[in-house]
Amino acid sequence: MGRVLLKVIILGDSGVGKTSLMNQYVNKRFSNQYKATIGADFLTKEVMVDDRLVTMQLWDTAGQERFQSLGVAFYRGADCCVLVYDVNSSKSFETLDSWRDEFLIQASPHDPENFPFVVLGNKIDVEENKRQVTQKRAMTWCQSKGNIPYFETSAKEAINVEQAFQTVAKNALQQEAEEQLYVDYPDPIRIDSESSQNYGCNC
Amino acid sequence: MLYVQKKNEDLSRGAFDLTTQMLRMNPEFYTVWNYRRHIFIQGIFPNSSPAAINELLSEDLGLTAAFLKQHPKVYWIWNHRRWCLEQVPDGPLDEDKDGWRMANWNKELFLVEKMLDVDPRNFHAWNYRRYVLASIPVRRSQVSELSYTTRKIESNFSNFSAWHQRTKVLASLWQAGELNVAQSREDELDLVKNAMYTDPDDQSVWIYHRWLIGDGDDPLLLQREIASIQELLDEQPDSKWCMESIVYYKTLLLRRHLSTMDTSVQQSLVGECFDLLSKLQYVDSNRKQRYIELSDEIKNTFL
Amino acid sequence: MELDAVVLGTGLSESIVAAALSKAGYKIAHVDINPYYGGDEASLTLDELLQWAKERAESSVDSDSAYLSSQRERFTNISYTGSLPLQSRQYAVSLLPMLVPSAGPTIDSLIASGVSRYGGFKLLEKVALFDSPGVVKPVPGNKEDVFKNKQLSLLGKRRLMRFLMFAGGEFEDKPELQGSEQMPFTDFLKDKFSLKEEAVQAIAYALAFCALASDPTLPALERIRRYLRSSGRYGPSPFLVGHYGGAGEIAQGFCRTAAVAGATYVLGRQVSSIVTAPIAEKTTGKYTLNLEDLSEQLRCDLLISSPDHLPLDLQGDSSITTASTNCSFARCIAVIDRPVSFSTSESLEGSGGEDPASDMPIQDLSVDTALLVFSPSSIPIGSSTVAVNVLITGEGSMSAPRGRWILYITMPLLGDQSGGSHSPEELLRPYLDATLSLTRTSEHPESALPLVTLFYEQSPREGPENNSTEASLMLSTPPHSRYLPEVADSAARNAEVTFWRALEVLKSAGRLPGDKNSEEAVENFWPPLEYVNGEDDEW
Repeated sequence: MGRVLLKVIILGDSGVGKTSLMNQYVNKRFSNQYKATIGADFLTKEVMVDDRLVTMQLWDTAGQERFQSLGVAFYRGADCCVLVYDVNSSKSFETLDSWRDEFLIQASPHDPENFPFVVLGNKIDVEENKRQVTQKRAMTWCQSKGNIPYFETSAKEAINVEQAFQTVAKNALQQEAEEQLYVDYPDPIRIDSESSQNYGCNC
Repeated sequence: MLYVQKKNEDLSRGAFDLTTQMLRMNPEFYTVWNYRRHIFIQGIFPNSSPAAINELLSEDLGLTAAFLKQHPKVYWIWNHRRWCLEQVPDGPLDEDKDGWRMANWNKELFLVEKMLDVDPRNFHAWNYRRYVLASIPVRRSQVSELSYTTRKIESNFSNFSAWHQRTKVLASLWQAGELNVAQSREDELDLVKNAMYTDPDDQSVWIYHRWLIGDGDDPLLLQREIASIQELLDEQPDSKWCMESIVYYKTLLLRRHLSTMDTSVQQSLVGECFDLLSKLQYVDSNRKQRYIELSDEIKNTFL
Repeated sequence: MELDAVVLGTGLSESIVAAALSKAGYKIAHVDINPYYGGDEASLTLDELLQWAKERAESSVDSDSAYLSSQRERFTNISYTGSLPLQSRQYAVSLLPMLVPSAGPTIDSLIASGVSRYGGFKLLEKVALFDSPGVVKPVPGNKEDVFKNKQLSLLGKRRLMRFLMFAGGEFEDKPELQGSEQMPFTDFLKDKFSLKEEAVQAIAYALAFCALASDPTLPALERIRRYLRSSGRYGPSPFLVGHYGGAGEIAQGFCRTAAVAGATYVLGRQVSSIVTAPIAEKTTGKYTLNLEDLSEQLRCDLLISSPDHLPLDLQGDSSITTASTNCSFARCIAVIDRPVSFSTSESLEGSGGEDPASDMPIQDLSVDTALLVFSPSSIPIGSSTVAVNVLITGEGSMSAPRGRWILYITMPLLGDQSGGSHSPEELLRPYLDATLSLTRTSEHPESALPLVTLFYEQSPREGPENNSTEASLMLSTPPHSRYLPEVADSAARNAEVTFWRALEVLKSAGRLPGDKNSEEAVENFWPPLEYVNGEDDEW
């Protein structure tokens, strides 16, 4: 049994808390400074899923979503897609639909009906009167799209973040296993400064 | 504590597990390997069915395979593997007495061939492989063995061990009458000449050529080969192996077929040898003395 | 938006520069009029490719953007046949077929920038020369190949080996080369190494990748040595093919790393105007750009642009980083549903059932990711002066679904082909047919028929007539070397030259990277890589 690598991408409008959620989950940290994801690339974390150790690779959008400039490369090979909105911004919830569509077009999974999404309604730590999207409304949408798991989170207060990503890991692993049935790719060559095995020039 | 147990002839499972722990820490502890085998033979095997014995031996083979990854050259590990393989009982069925053996030996062959893929020139691995081939109950055909050496030579050229293995396989095939000796030798000469021309500096190729020529009882063959090497020398005038081989074969001609030559031919040959030997003193000055000695020898024998 | 520089066009060269400037600490915006990354080097799905072809094949209309008019001038004689197969999105077709040498500036930049972590590569399996319908000749590139080759004579082998040893070493001072540096390489091989025609062809066209028989010796030797020294790093072949179309995916990787370092990305929007501020005004940036559908203006002191993204009126004012020695190309992209096999004449003789001498079944000679080279005069109705190459990529390179392969045929329009009197389809159809002859098997004795074919001609942008001294307005040189394995490295080299010049411009405009109080100069093309999950002060 080889090492399992799960690619997870996190989508949603700018400012909903995608990078904060990632950082809270992986590094257990939160910063109030909104630096628009400067420096966030991808984070890896090893998790146990049903007695199996897997490596999750969480990909940040690096701010390229701001002007709808996420390239197809970002979506390739994703095993799970996390859709994030801010519960205090109705607009960010309304765009979830187009984010989901965009994902399915760009990533082209073999079985789009059953591709694992997880929806996170973030920033529940903000005072209640600022809230614009009800839990019921969100859950209705999630159910209508094939029973997408839904979590209400706060990256700042670390509420529900662990649970949400545990579900992500589980569903991503299942997707990866199913995807393996379709593909039979030989191991790709990974280029990094350490990986050169020298076969030797024979001249 | 282990010594105490050994002294007391402790053949228990506990003692056995202790040997496992110790060997994990240091697989070079040969007395511990001995003790382990002792426990197997005296303590565990007498109370176990053949199937259980096979199972235990397979586990030990698995254990030692893991050790080998860290310590690929520790003799005691290989030694223990040999012992395990030789202990495999008849089974699984009366009609298939060699079933377990075949399975284990084939795995062993696979293991050693994997090692040779990684390091095709590992001389010890080649030796071990010969041992495995000789021990497998149903022998692999020598013909397929010949192909194996061909593949190894083709994939990694300067492979003394592969050429060496080839000499053994061919000798066996020739003796058994499975290959037409004359044709086979011609094929081999063709193969080795391709190698010579591709890389005249590869020593293993010249050694193989010499083996093919043997004792030189065919003068026409000798002359033909000398001419071939001369052509190569003309193209590659600094090739010391060419020069040395020509001297060797011309000397062989002189030794074996003196009676069939008239004096002028003899003298030409001798002169040519001298020429080459003096060139060699210059081209391969490290071995100057040897060439001088060879010159003297020829002088004394043929003049 | 106050910026240090704006880059227009997300082609390979521009993307590498954007990444380097961004990582060096400069504020960059990177814009492309297309809704996809990669520009002229993009990786496209089949329906995107068809769309791309249609747009450029249509006649101009007044309302066309300057970009599209420009593109229509450069991509001409477009013809497309076939119906769109299902699974169109499973394809990643590259507008620029590319090989990445295992050692060189592209690999170095990929590793140093961290872009190598984003994607994978496939090693090129084989290079072969076309011989006759259904048959190829192997290309002996190392000792083992030479030994096994059944077509070379013994002397031929010795001479070829002698040449390979020469080419792999320090040949600059060797007597064989003195005075012959500019001699046609094919003549050099015959005169100095007494090589026969067969060996000359293999070396010149499939090891040095010469385009013409007259290509000079020294550059050819330098290329061979580079490739000989790259082989062994990741496997026997010196060349890598990027997953998902190669160039376009790699460009996206550089854009991503630029974004991670803070660059702003804007796809799918046209530049509606660029205003150059008079010299006297020093308060805001020199250039003010307006993008359609974007309220924010972009202001910067340096503009780097791919040729087609710059409005015509500014082109004359721009400077170029390196002289363009590019020629036009005739190109073909075809999709097939049966594999190409590299069968040599020996493998065909010995075929039929198992080899009795070994327990091995008959060899499968079909290839997934490989290169086929046609030397001049290798096919009766082909070119007699120019070499043509065919890059084949299959499932293993992640550019096609299972059971499908993409063929990229490229002919540099040089020599007797530079007249322009034949359409790309006329020029390349014989090569396509010859390549398809290699799909014949005992079960399918006829050549495969392509599902889709696209022919077109690609011309380089003419550089500005007078290379202006306006350093702050740079025209990025596109990566279209006539030598297939040099394409990627030429882009990387150009990017680096552009980077250093950009630094000079920014410095003289008073712009410092990152923390404005820092006095440290930028010393390297790429800063040291940070570890993933590393401690980050901001968090």
